[in-house]
Parts: sequence; structure tokens; C-alpha cells
Amino acid sequence: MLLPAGSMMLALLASLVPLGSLAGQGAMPGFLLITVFFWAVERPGWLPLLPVFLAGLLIDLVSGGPVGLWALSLLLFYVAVRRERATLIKMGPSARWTAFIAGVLLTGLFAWALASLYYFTMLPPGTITWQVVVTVVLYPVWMLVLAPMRRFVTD
Amino acid sequence: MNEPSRRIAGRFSALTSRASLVFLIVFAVALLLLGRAENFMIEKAREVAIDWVVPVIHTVASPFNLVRDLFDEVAVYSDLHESNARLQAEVDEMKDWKAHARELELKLARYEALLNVQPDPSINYITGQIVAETGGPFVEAVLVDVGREEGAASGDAVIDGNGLVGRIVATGDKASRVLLLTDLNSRVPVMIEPGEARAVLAGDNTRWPKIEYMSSSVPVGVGARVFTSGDGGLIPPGLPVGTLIAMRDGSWRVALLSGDKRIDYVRVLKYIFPNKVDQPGPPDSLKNAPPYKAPEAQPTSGTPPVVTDPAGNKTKKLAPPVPPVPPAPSAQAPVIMPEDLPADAPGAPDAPALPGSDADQRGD
Repeated sequence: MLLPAGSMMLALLASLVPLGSLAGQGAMPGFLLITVFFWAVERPGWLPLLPVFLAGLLIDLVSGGPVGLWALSLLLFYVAVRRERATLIKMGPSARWTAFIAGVLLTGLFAWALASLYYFTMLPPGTITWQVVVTVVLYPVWMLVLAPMRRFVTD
Repeated sequence: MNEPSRRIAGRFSALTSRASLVFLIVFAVALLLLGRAENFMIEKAREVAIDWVVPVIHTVASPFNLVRDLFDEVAVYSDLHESNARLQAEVDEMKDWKAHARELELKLARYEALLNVQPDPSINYITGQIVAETGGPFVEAVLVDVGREEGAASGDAVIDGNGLVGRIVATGDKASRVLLLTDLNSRVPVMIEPGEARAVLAGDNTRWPKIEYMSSSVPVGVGARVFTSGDGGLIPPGLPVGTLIAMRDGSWRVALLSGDKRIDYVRVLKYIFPNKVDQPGPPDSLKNAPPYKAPEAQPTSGTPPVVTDPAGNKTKKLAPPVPPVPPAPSAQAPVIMPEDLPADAPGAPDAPALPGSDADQRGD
């Protein structure tokens, strides 16, 4: 239980570090999405729904955006990945990455639609598209950080 | 544990998990609705979260900053020769501008003296560092490590070395959130020069904020400089914002001076709008005078009326009543026909005052 919580905290902090032009303005929930995906596939029993919800809520509170937006998006992403765990666990790294891309695309689309509804205006899709691209590119890098934890999971 | 017990425990666990999922979804939706109503509790929670996150981020970001600075240094050294030549050219150009600026400074001082212009109130500032880019894909905001304890307050303008960055929208004890000019909710009154056209700079989560409600009487062009106008009294006037760019659909946007570069250190401006004026009242010379006594009734015709001055002496006679003036043809200004104007008059139809013309530059 400590490992998922610790990795979530690390992802949260990494998301908030001012990377500036390196990753565009606020590459926010990218690391969290990857971490949530990792634990949903590897050991969902170690990561209950509440920490996922709270991590998203903290992102919402700190960002100044709609409170509940990322809490809900992250939660639904986690539940969806957990439902498909049986399929995902059999996949190789590349296929799993492809599945992650599909999941992030859908989550990004959902968050964008919800945010547009919240603000009663069609938000420009450019930023969220860029966020999805950054998250997808970050996936293998962040997996290098998470990979050592897999040893504890199998043990 | 036997098989039936295990099955019951499994079902109970699944039921609990499903119930908690439904509860959390409902809770998130409720939070979204509450946030839409700008609930006080949510704002307070945001402040607490900012105060909690910023010191941690400050520590965590240090190695990242070191690496980033290292990359920046390497980038600088890699084009040292080119940048040196470019800077030399800029210095040569700046020398001419310096002389020109001195000349204009003297001229401005002379005009201000002539017009008795009151100088702007001194603006104090607090320097802070951007510690987190928290906005995400739907919010353009950053966290600065200056909070209530340092004197920051909601509404304060934030600038960097290039120009206006945004304004503070939430303040914790040790940190504040700065809403950038590009954010969907950002609205800043601006002035476009030359011409002093007033407008509102409205962010829409894109790179270049829109120009809205521009006073159309003044022509503006691409590359015109955009400054804060100071309207509303929240942000001081004259802060550089960016330059005007034209879009294909005919609208105007602004290329921000603080746009493409990484924001690092900023200044939070403590601007106090000079709106503290005394309550309206009688002039000082009349404050100690005895109460005014109404004049006695006078016959409607014959001798002119006699009034009583504040001291009670019936001494001053008014002039006979002036007959009413017939109304002017226009409520704003008398109408002058074009044929009445001399051919070289500034307002003559054949000589419109265009930007750059002599008529437009008569203030220089």
C-alpha cells in the first residue's frame, strides 16, 4: 500500500514542477495517469479508489481549475483500466503502451468535454491535445521510474 | 476460510467497491456544481492546498531547476558568437534610442510642468519566484512563493522583466496563484498606442489573448504596442503587455511580451489607486459662517431683487434676470458646414487626421 501511495505522491510532485517550455504550460496529470495505469494493471488491490480520487482532487485544488474535474476523470480512467486488467496483463510493453494511448485519449476527451461544459464554452482543443502527446511520450520515461516497483509486486 | 464464506466476502467487497465508486462520482459532480457557484469552502480549500504544496514543490524543484539552468547555460554557450554579434548590433541601435529617449524625457518633463501633471503614486512591489506551473490543460495559472504574509493580495498585478504576466486570484499565507493573461477568465483593460484606443484584453486559453470592446474611433495597426490602461483601478496604467497582431477573420489579438519565455522571477505590484478623496462639503471659507437666511419675498416687478449675503447684510444687488438662451442646433457641438471651413483646417473633410499625419502628431 505504501508503494502506490509513494509513487502517486512522486507523480503529483513531478507534475507540478515548473518545466516551462520543456513540456508546455502545465503537463499536469500526465505522470499521475501513467502511475494510475501502472497500478491498475499490476496490483489494483494495492490502490483503492479513494487515493486516486484524492490525488485528482488535489490537482484540481492546486490548479485553480474546476474542482472535481480531474478527480472524476482520473477515477473513471482507473476504473476502466482495472476492468480491462485481464487483457492488459497479458500484453507486451508495446501493446500496453498502445492501450495506454487509447485510454489517455479518451480521458483527455472526457476532461475536455467536461471542462467545456463547466465553462459553457468550447475550449480550444490544442492544449489538451498537447497534454495527451506529452503524457504518451512521458510514458516510457516514467515507466523506468516505476519498473523497480514491479519486483515487489511479483514477490 | 471455507468456500461459502469466501464467496460472501468477495461479494461484499465488490458491493462496497461499487458503492464507494458511485459515492465518489456523485461527490465529484457535487463539487463541480459547488465550484461553479464559487463556494467559499472551495476557495478556502484551494488556499490551504496552495500553502501545503508550495514549500514541498520548492524543495523538489531545486534539482530540476539546477538541471534546467545547466541546459540553459549550455544553450547560451553554444551560440556565444552569434549572440555576441547580435548584442553588439543591438547596443549600437540602443545608443541612438538612448539619445532619442533623453530628448523625449526632457520634452515630457517640460509638458508635465506646463500641464501641472501629478506624478503616479509610487508602486511598491514584492519579488517572488514561480514555484509551480499548476494550470494544466484548462487553466493558465502559476504559483508564486509570495503570500499574505509578504503582503500579496488578490487582484495584485504581476509582472516579469518583459511586461505584465497576470494577476493574483487566490492568496495563501505563503503562496499565491497567478492567473495568466492567456487564461479563459482573464480580463484586463488595455490601451493601444499610438492612438490611445481603449479595449479589453480577454484570454481564451490560447497563446494570444483577444482584443475585445475596442473603441473603434481610433485606427490601429499591426505591431501597435499594448499597455495596461489602468481603467478600473486594479492594475496600474502603462505596464507593457505586448504587440497587436491581426487575425484572418479581422479580429485582433496580442502577442504577449511575457509569452514565449519561461517565467521565473516576478514582481507583485502593490498598487493603490488614488481614489481617496474627501467627502463633499462646503468650502473652508464657509464652514464657520452663520447659517444662510432665505431672502425676503420681493415684488415681481419694479426694483431688482436684494439678496442677503452669508453675514446677513442686504447689500448685493443681482443683475436683472437673463432671458433664456435659445437651444443650440446640436446637443454636442454647433454644426459647421464644410464650406464654412478653410481648405487647410484640420477637421476639413478633405484633410482627415490620419495616423502619422501632421494633424495626428501635433502633440509631439
